[in-house]
Amino acid sequence: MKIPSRLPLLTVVDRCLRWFAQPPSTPRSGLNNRQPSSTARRAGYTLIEVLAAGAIVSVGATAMVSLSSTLMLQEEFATRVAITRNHQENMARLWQLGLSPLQINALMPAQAQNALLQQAVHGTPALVETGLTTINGVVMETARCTAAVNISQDPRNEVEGASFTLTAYRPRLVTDLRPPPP
Amino acid sequence: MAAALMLMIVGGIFVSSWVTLMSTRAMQVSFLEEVCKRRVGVESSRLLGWQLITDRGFERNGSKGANEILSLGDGLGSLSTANGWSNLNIYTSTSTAGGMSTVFPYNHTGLRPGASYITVEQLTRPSYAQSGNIDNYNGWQFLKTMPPVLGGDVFCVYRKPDGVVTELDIYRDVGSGSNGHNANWTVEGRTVVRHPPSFFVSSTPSPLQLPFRTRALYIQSYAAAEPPNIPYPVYGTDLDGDALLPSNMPVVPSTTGPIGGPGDRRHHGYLDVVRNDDNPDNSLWHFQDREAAAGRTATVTIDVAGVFNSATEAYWIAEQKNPTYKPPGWPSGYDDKLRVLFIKLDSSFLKNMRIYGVVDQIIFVGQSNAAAFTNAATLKPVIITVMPNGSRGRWVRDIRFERENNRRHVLAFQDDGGRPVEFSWVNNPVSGNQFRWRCVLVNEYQSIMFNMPATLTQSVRWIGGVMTNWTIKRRAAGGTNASRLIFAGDNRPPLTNISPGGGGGASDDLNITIGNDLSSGLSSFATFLPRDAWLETYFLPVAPP
Repeated sequence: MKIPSRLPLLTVVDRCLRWFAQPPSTPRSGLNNRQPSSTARRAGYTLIEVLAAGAIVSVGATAMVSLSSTLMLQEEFATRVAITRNHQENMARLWQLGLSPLQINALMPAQAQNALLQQAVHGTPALVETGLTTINGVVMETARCTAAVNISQDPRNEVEGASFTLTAYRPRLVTDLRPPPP
Repeated sequence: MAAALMLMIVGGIFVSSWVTLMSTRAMQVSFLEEVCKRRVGVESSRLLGWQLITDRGFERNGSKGANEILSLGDGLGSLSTANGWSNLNIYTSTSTAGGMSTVFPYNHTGLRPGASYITVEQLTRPSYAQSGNIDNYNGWQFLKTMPPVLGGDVFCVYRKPDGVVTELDIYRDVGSGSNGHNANWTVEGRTVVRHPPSFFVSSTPSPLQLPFRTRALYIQSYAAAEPPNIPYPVYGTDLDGDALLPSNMPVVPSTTGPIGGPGDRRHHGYLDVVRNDDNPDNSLWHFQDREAAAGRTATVTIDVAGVFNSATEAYWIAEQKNPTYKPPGWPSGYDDKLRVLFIKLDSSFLKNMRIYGVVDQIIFVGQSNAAAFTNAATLKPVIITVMPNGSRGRWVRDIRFERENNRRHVLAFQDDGGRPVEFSWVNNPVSGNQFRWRCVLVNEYQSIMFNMPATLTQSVRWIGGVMTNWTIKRRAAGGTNASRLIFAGDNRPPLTNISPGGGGGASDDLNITIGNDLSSGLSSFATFLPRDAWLETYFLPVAPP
């Protein structure tokens, strides 16, 4: 199959290949070795070729920049998700140890005093006790811990991102033995 | 140009790697939620197993079928009851740590079974379909019981009885002389507090320092460290008189078994072991029945105050118009004569006794010389219960301990009104100035007052420990020297091959050794001492194949 020689990109490639194929001892150009014009090769590129090549390079560069910024943003959001889920899991685990939601909120790091946490979490993660569950006669307490990620790039505003709910269980006996908090 | 091309190639590889890395990182974060869910789910499974065993394992004759699947939901936790169990009864378990050598997978966690009765239950992960993506695991639950007084818990204070508004007083300094009382004594062992709120009324200082001296203090209650505030703070006094903080944080709840009456409050710190028809396996009254049924020791009931004397019995009853040992306040509040029950503790004919309030005074006659004192240690231990004569009826008000005693016995009081009983030592020690009295004291809702010997240089050493749910004090007339009243543990209880539940049979026999005083042919002291039960648990993931 013959490749059409009119396509600018292929023309550039074709010339590059020709340039590589040329023996190094045979200079292509030079003031002292200038050949008669009748046998001279065509030097340089047409304006169309240069513009086309430039357009291709700029599209590639733009794509790269765009990809980079997207990936950086994604990395930032991944960090926020990790912080949020870690915070959320710790809330659930503390509850499983026997603490009440009030005590957990008092124990967990306060968002107002933690810039990283404030940036990562949207709103305040909530742990809500949802009553008792009986499984084959075994009574367990249930709680749901919900937290959402902040996806805003503006530190002055929060935008709710992915929300996730953890369901946790703990023995009823733990709180049965405790007096109500003072 | 070649260099430029190489640079482009390297740059391309770099960009590709970066893109791959970032996408991997993004995938990793997307799995984070699943990982959180799994971790919380596995913990839920562990807690489900804990609740199952705590609910059912301490329930008398509880059963659980094999391979029952308990599922909290896909990925939220679940377990299987593995082999299940039938008629499980931790208080009558014949398995002991010393007798089991192969079933303890405790090496991974360092958990070592102590010298106690023990039952092992295994909970496992059910099938994948039930448990979602939670990893395989085995949950091992060790149900353990042990008489606390033999484990070094010399002074155990339980929760006060229900409905009582006054405080459980083991700390106040009240008045002076024969009517005053204080809490100056020494515990050569650990003091265990099961329910700090029982000490507190509106006038109780907070934090409360228990004034008696003790080697260690253990608060076995969740209320001890309730964040953010500690509502009932208690600390103790060490053997040097300095402040002593509790040696623990909130701990696994233990129980003396189901309590009598309505409600299911096994783990609330109550003491109900003297006569508990709802939990006969840990009830001294029922221990007496089982000992009699097994042909080991008969039971004598003192419910008639008639004068009685016998050359073959170890007890007799006398009526004294001019009492040998006049009780406090005599004769006010008494009939014109004092009904006195004598119990000779070094008699080989002594039986288990149930004493009602038909007598006013009990005189425990100890050993009169060193040889008898030594020999008494080899006599079979007995259980002596003391109760009022009917609800709020007459009660035994005065106890005299004559000389010293080296015979092991359980002396258990049960009252329904918190009425006072005076303990006094009379005559002289076998040698020296110290009255050694070997006895495990169990006190349910009786106010016990220790009166020190009249001679100021004499002191009392109570060997065997105390389990109480109500006031124990010392009369102020004996001064405030804490070394005049010492509570110490009995570290050499005799043990023999007797099953605790009365089941008997060689195959059931206990074979535990606590201390070095194995004496063949005697009833086991440890087997009929009231026991605490608790749960030790661990949870091991199964390694992938």
